[in-house]
Amino acid sequence: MKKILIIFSGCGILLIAIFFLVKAFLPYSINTIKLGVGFSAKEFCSCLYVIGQEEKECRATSQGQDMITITLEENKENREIQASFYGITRRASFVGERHGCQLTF
Amino acid sequence: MKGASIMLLFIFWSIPLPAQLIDKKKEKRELENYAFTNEGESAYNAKLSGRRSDAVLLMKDGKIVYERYDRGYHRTKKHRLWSIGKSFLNALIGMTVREKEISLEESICRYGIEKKCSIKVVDLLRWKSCLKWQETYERNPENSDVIRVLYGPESQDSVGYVLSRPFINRCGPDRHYAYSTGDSILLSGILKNIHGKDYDAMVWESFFGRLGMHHITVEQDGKGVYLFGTHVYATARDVASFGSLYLRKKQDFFPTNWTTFSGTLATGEENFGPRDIVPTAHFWGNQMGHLSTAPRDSLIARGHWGQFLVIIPSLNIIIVRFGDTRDDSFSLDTFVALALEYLK
Repeated sequence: MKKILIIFSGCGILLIAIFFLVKAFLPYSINTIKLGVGFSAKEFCSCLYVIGQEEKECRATSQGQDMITITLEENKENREIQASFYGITRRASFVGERHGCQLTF
Repeated sequence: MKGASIMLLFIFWSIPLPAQLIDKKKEKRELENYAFTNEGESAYNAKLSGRRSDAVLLMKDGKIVYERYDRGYHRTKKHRLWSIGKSFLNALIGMTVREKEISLEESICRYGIEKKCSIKVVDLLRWKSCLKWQETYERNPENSDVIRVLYGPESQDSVGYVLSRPFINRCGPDRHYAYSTGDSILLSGILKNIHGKDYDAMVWESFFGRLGMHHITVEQDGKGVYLFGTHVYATARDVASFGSLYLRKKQDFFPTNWTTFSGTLATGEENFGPRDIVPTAHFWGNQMGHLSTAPRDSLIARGHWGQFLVIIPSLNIIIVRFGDTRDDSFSLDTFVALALEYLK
């Protein structure tokens, strides 16, 4: 019983330590990264479907923050974008010619 | 067939250019060298460095006298306007004043807002809400209110987020000027409240439609408030048409003197020095000679990463420039000087 408790708390401390270590190496706060992922989703969506720019250019200009790389996936059929960074995801979809793209939460 | 096309070519060839532009080869070359010189590969520059102009359009006496695109843009392809769209709010407010549905000196609480009633409509137009607001972008994203209201869950109710901001401590009798996308969001929310179900007809028919602006997108927040302050897309021709609204001799959109009001620094604002660009009523003004070669009555609308519209009522000139300029390699002053040299 005692052994299990020690292993559990050990794992807990290790996880917390890893969390703070990762956080210390991230160039932005978690909140700001979430906003960055939102930026990438919405701006990639607008770049492709509102402006009609080439995908290559859109990928290059929709990153927003220089120091982290956000993954951008396109669902061509629904004109929807999913942006993600290590488990943080945001979606934006094209709603029409006049009203462009919108973030969904 | 061949004869007909040669005829056609001949007819086009013989359409005279405005007389003053015929001998302007040198000035044209200098303007183009400045605007359209790109570093490395012109279209896709991974470092996003250099001027990277996408469109230049010059209009004089109601006619397009110069128009050129680059990096994949063309006459009907929309470009991001970013904060140029803030000046569209000036036009919509002007139209609403003319219809006597809004008064600049009234509290915003007359128009469906329930908080922060000491703010008047004119304070929003002049970016003087006195609401605490951090207007920073991707270079300094921590604690930025703009990024939060546009890209966070707060984007589901942008007006609500702006109204949740506290007042700054020292506002002063003339109110404190601070450029804020939040103020533009409030203006847009007020317009939606005033016009209700007629708002879309006003925006898309009475405004864009009547001016022949046909390639426009204005994105909305989660509650259907138009994000004119940032999320507007249009062509260079559309933006030139918008600019021409402020050159009309017989003003059928705005109340009298609206153009002068729009381009004039508010009284009580003496904190600007020589060469400063000055904030006016959701435009920028040239009273301190920010553009050294342009007249003092010029109105400037500008957006992130190098979007510019310069309206010069006294010369009947409009200058539009789009780009994706992320460093300081593009100077509006130099560019306008070259454009005016060409248009002389």
